Amino acid sequence: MTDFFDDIKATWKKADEVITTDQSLTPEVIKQSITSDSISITSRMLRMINSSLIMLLVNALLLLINCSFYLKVPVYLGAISLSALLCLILVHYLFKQMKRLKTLDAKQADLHQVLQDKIDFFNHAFNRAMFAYGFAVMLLPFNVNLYQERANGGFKGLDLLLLVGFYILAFAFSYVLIKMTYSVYLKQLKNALSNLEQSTLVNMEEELKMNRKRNRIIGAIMVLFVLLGGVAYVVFHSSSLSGQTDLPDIEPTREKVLAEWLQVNGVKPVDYITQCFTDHDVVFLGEYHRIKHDVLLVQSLIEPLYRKGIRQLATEFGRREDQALIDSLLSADVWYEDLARKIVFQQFVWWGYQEYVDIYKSAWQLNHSLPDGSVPFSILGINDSPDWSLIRKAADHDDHSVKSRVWRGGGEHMWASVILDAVSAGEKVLVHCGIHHAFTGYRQPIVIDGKFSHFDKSLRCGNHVYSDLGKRAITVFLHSPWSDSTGYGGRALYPAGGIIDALMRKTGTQATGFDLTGGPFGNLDMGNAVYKHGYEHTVLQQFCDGWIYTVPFPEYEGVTPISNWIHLDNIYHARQQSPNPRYRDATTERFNKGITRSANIRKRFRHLK
Amino acid sequence: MKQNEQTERFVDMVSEHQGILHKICHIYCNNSEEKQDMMQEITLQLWSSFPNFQDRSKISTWIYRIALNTAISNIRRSKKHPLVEALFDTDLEIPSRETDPALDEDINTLYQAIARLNDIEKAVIMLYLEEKSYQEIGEITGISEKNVSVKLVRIKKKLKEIIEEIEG
Repeated sequence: MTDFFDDIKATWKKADEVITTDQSLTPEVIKQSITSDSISITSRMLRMINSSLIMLLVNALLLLINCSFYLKVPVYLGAISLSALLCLILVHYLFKQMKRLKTLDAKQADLHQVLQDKIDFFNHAFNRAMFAYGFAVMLLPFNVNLYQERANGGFKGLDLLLLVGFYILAFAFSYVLIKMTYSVYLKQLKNALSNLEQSTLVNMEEELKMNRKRNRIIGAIMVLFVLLGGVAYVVFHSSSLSGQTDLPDIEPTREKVLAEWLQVNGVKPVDYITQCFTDHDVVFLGEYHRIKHDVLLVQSLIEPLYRKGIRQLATEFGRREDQALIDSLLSADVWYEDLARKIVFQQFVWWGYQEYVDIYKSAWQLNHSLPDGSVPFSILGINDSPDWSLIRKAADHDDHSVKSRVWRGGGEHMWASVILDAVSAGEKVLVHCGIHHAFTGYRQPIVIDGKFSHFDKSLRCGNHVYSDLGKRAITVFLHSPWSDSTGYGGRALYPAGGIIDALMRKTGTQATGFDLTGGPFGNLDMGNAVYKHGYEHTVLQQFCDGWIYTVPFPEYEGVTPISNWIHLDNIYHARQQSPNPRYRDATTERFNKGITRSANIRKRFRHLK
Repeated sequence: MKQNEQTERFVDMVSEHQGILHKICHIYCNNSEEKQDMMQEITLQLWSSFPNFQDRSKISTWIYRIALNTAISNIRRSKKHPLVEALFDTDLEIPSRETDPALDEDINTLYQAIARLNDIEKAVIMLYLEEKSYQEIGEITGISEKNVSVKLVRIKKKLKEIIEEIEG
C-alpha cells in the first residue's frame, strides 16, 4: 500500500505542476470576482422556497381531496376556502421573501445577511406551514365524519373514536418529525452563521452526522405519508366505514332463501316485462338514463310486446306536440333517420344518442314488416315542450314564475293523461322514462341539505296514473345506482344496500327480471339511499314492483353519442333550448363534447365494483 | 486598513495561492465552465471571510478550509436542485468528467478515481496527497486527528481498488 501511494503521490505532484501552471486567476479576474454581482441569489432563493413548497404541496393535496368530495356541498366551501387561504398566505410570504432577497446587495456578498434572512425565513415559514398543515390534517376527521354522516347516517361511536384518535396521533407524530427536521436545518444554518462570524467553517464531521440524522427523519416522514395515504385509501374505500364501494356480505340463510327464490321465479328481462302485462295495464320501465343495455332492452321489447297485444310505447323521449311527426315516421315506407333525430332533438337538444333514436327505428321496422291492414305499433310522445330560452341565469331555475312560463302549463299530469287515454281506449302501455317519473305507489321525497323536506306535491307521472288505475299500473326498476342520502346529486351507491349486486355476483346470475311484491326481495331494506327520506321503515317493495338486473356495474356502458349531433344548422336552437344558460353562446364542439361526457357511464360508476 | 489596501492584499494572497483553488476546482468539477463558476464562488467566499482572517492559522490552511467548504456546498446544492438550476442555465450539460488532454494517462486515471469518491473523501485524500499532517487535515476538515487516520486507511483502500478497476 505504501509503495502504491508513493507512486500516487508522485503522480499527484506531476499533475500539480501542470495544474498550477494555470495562472488564469489574474489580479483583474480576482477583482472582477469579488465585485461581481453574480452571487447565486437565484439558487439561494430556490433553496429557501423548497421546504415551504413541500408544505404547500401537502396542503394543495388535502385541498384537492376536500374539493373532490365536497365541491357540490356549500357547507364545506368555508373549510375549503380556509385551506386555500392558508396556501395563499404561504405563497404571498414566499413572494415577499423573494422580492426582499432580490434587493440584497449582492456586490457586498453579504453572506451574514443571507444566513440571517434564511433563519428568519425558516422561523416564519415553519410556523405558517405547521399551522396550515395542522389545520388541514385536523380537518380530515371532521370531513370524514361529516361525509359518513351524510352517506350512512353517521358513524357508529367506536368508528368515529378510532378515526379521530388516529388522526390526532398522526398529526402529533407528523408535528414532531417536521419539528425535528426543522431543528436540524436551523442548527445547520446557525452553525454556518456562527462559523462565518468566527471565520471558521462548518465542521464536516458534525455536518455529516446532521445530514444522516436529517435523511433518517425525511425517510420517516415519507414512510408516514405513505402510511397516511394507505390508511386514507382504506378509510374512503372500506365497506365498513364508507359503505360505498364494497359489496356487503350476505348472511348465509338469507342468501340461500334469495338465491332459491330467484332460481324459481327469475325470468329473462323481455319475458318478465311481457308477463307483467298479464295482470297490469301500464308498466313503467324506470331507467337511470344513458345506460346502453337499458335502451337496447326497450328496443328488443317492441316486437314481443306487439305479439302479445301490447301496441303502445309511451316515451319520455318524445313530445306530445310532435305526435303527428312520430306517427308519420313510424308509418313511412322508408326509414327517415333525420326525422327520427329531429323528434329526439326537439324533445331535448342534449339527447344525441343513437340507441334512443333506434327505439323509433325498431318500431318502424316492426310496422314495416306487418301485413297490410294490421294495427301498427305506436310510440306515444308524453313529454312537455318547455321553452328553456326563458332561463336567463342559473337562479331562474328556482324562480317559480319563470319556471311556470318555461313549462307552459305542462307537467307530469299531462304525461299521465296521454297514458290514461290509451288505457281508456282499451290499450296496454309500456312507459319508458326516468325512474323518478316512473314511481307509481312510491312518493318521492324532496331532500334539502341531506334532510327530508317534504313529499313532491306535484306528483310524478306514475303517481298520477296510479291514482287512477291503482295496482293496474306498476313500476319496474332497471338496476342502476342510487344517490346517497345527501341528495339526488350525491355519490352513486349500490341500490338496496348492495344485497342484490352481491347475490347476483355470487350466484353468477345475469339478465333476470323478478317481482318484488310477494317475494323475499321485496322485504330487503332500502339502505341509506336518498329514497329512505320521509319513511320510517323502507323496504324495496315500497319503491317499485319489479326489478330487472342485467350485468354487474363494471360492465355497464353508456349509450353511443351521435357524432356532430349539434352542427351549424341546429346550433342556434340548441343554444336557446339548453336548460343551462351558460350554453347560450356555446360552440358546436362544446355541445358535442358535453353530450359525449354525459354518456360516460363507466367513469360515473367507476367506484362501484 | 483602507478598502483599496485590503483589496490589493487579498488579490496578492489569492494570486499566490491560486494553485490550491485550481486543484480543488479540478477535483470537484466536471468541466471547464463548472470550474470557472466554482473558482468565482470560492474567490467570493474568501473575500467575504477575509476581514475576519486573523492570522491564527496558516494562510494556506485557511484557504483550503474555505475553498473546500465552498466546493462541497456548491456540489451538494447542484445535486439537490439539478432540475431547478438547469432551468436557469442557457446550455444544459450532462455532467461527466472530461479527460484533460494536457495531463498524461496516469494523472487522468488518478483524477477519474478521485472523482468516484464522495465529497468528504475527496477533500481528505487531496490533503493527504498534498502531504498535510493529520493535524492540519483535521484542522481544515473539522475531523479529529484520530478520525482522520481511520478515514484515510479506508479512503486509500477504496482509491486503490478504484484505480485497479480503471486500469483493468
